Amino acid sequence: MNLAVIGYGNPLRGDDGFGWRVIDMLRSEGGASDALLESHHQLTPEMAELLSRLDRVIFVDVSLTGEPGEVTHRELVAPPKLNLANIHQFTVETLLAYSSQLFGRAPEAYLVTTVGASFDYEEVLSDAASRAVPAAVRCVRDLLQFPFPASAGSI
Amino acid sequence: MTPSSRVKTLTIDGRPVSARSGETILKVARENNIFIPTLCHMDGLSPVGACRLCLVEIKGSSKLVPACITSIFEGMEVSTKSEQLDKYRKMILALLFSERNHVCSVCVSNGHCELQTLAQTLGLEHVHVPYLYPVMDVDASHERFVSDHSRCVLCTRCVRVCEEIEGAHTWDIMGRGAEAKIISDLNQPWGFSESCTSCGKCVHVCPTGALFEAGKSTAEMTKRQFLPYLSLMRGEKND
Amino acid sequence: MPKTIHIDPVTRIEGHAKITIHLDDKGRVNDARFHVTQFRGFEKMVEGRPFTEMPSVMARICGICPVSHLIASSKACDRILAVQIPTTAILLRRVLNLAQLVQSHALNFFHLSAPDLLLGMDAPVDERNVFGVMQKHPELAKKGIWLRKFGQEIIEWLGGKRIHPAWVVPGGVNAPLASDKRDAILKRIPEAIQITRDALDLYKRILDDFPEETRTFANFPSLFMGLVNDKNELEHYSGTFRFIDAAGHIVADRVSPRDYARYIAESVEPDSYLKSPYYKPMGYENGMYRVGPLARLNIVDRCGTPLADEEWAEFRSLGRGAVLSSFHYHFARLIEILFGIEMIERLLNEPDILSKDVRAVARVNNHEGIGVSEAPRGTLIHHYKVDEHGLMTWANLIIATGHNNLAMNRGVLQVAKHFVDGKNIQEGMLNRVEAVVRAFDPCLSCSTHAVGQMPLRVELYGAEGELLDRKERAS
Repeated sequence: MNLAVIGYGNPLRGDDGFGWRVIDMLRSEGGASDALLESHHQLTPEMAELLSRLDRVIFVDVSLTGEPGEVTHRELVAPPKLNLANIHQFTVETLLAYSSQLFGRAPEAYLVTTVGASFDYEEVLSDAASRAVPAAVRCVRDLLQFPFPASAGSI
Repeated sequence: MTPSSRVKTLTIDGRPVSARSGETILKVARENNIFIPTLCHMDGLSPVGACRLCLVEIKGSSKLVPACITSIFEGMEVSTKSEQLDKYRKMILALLFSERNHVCSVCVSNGHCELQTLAQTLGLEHVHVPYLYPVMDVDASHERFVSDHSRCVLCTRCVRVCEEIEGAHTWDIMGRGAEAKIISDLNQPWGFSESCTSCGKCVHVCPTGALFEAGKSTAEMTKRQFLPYLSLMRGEKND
Repeated sequence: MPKTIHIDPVTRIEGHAKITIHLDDKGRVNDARFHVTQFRGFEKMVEGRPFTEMPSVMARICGICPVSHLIASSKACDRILAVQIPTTAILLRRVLNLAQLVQSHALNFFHLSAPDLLLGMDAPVDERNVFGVMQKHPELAKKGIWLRKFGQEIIEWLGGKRIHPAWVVPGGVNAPLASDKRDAILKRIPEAIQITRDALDLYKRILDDFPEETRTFANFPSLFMGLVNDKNELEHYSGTFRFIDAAGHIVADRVSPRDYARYIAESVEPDSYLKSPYYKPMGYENGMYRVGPLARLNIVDRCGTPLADEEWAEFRSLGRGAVLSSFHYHFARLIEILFGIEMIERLLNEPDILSKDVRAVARVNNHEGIGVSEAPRGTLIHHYKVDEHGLMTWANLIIATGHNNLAMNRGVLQVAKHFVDGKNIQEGMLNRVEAVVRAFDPCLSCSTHAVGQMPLRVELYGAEGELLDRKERAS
């Protein structure tokens, strides 16, 4: 199995760096199931090439709406093709579509997120996001481990 | 007294171990590959028990004791891990991080820093106390070395190595509490110090990037381990 | 009744910004502004820090193009050391800078601009996106990815796989190039060149589909500024400044970067944190100039590499004098990609490229340093002052988006005048205003991607500040 965990966001903007912290924690714990661990400032098209070589990928991101600190995950599905309104930037779904349409295959993919509370110019997470890091790490580990993880839901 | 009567038995985290009388808990734990976090401690320098990261629990005592300066006794039962200890150690680290300006990503010691490693090892994810963001000086007056007070944790390793090993006593502490600060000579810029021999020992015992070699860029400052060899050369006993 | 149309944020540029279009009583476009909220704390923050930290600190201004700041900053630090930098270190820094140029331009052309160019400005919004490009031109999208990776991997192989490489240091670089890495890069050159030439062919074929855009896209006279080498060829690392006017005449030449302050003045606009530099001898009103790919190709006498020179000749035939339409930024970017690849090959074949002598060590020998480089988006100036111990006392940065600020406002105004009639908000009109801004490729790195996910909002205000109309695009 080729596995990867990709955290993305701007670590200089508070909770936007959540994905980085989750990757850091996975690294400091000595990795996770031989998965490739990567942190990125933003999603870029060339990641599609990496994706096409993976069996499973877990993205870690932060979202804006909801109860700060809540950790959720959902399975991602590559959009069936066009007819999707207004994709103006690279989302994880865009990347998956890139992967499947340009390179012939896309991995099983999940998105783990928490809800951010502060996006100021700082390198520290808010209390809520900080508390969510271990939960997100557990969530990532579960998703990496289980062959058929539970479908979307809260933990 | 026969040598055997000086051997004491005790348990650390439930493991029975034996040690010689007078040894510290930290030394015995390390001999038995039991991890206790430390910051101010350094083999080859006198212990001061200042940072409190090595606090452990002893059965029958409500007090937490620093492992680096507490001697073992017969029948002692030591715990190096507990929820309480974990909480206190993280609190100590959080206070250290919040007290000065530690920006790992641009630090000369990034990747080679004991404070950074401790935060990772102990799983410090977040600093819950407000940062003080004090305005701290950088003293770059020395020809070869720089001191950046923003990164100093007041472990006093530099003070001790300078006094005990080099015999110069250039460094000392001025002020108390949050005002405390490492100074050279009588609080003169390092470059003007009359007593400094420019030996660089203080730079190499500094656990963070507070003391570093001039001209080093981000992540380039690696520290040399010279004290164990020095102790060996001087024929100091291992106890 | 005067109205204000807000377009907020500009989608698909790398960051977050806002455009306001001000209408007069008769609903005609009166003024247009591109608002940037930029993090300017860096200049203040660095005071009192050792200058040796600057390359790493400055690289953190931008998570998207850290390499550009790294190069300009290390060059300013070199001046503080005031010693000769080893030749190999300069060759390697040049390769790094060009790799950044290639990958940044590739992202802009193949992924950010391609939907507009290949599918048409007025294509329905649910088709005019990267999916549309993938479906219509799958091979092109794939090649774009390949080219991005080509640049990205060179950066990783040279500087280590980190977002803010600490490889470039005052005095040089901190590790030499391994021969296997050089060979790996050289092996990819032919494919990189082929991809770029194919993209150029495609671009030239579709150019005729955009007569209106080439005519109106920030197509106005301005000065152009950039670096040229001693043979007046394209230069991204050293060289001297050249300013030309819209007719292509040289206004100032062989200007040492150290004298930039004699030629460039900066004004601060009240509604934007971005400083607006202008060419000092001509004053604020007339001294507007542009930097970046278009400017660089306008000021040079030739590129200096064979394939890029062929394309450059064609580019220059697009206008008498300087090429003025910002639409041709796209063409200019492709030519620069070609130049970058050819030059990387040339540099990697230099006999000294694998030398271990890559760093000069020195103390503070100079209390002031100015470092200039050409970043993908244009000229980048870092200016530092230090005390006798090398601690920073002052810093001034002029970034590419800043140089272009006045021109960008002019460009938005021009398009708005042409396409906005104040009565209704048409999809095509908004797209064109946005596309102008994108053509300048402003880098607003300090934004979060999470905030960038906010839906596009258009608001129309009346004279009393009351909200007249509001349209939102679902994101």
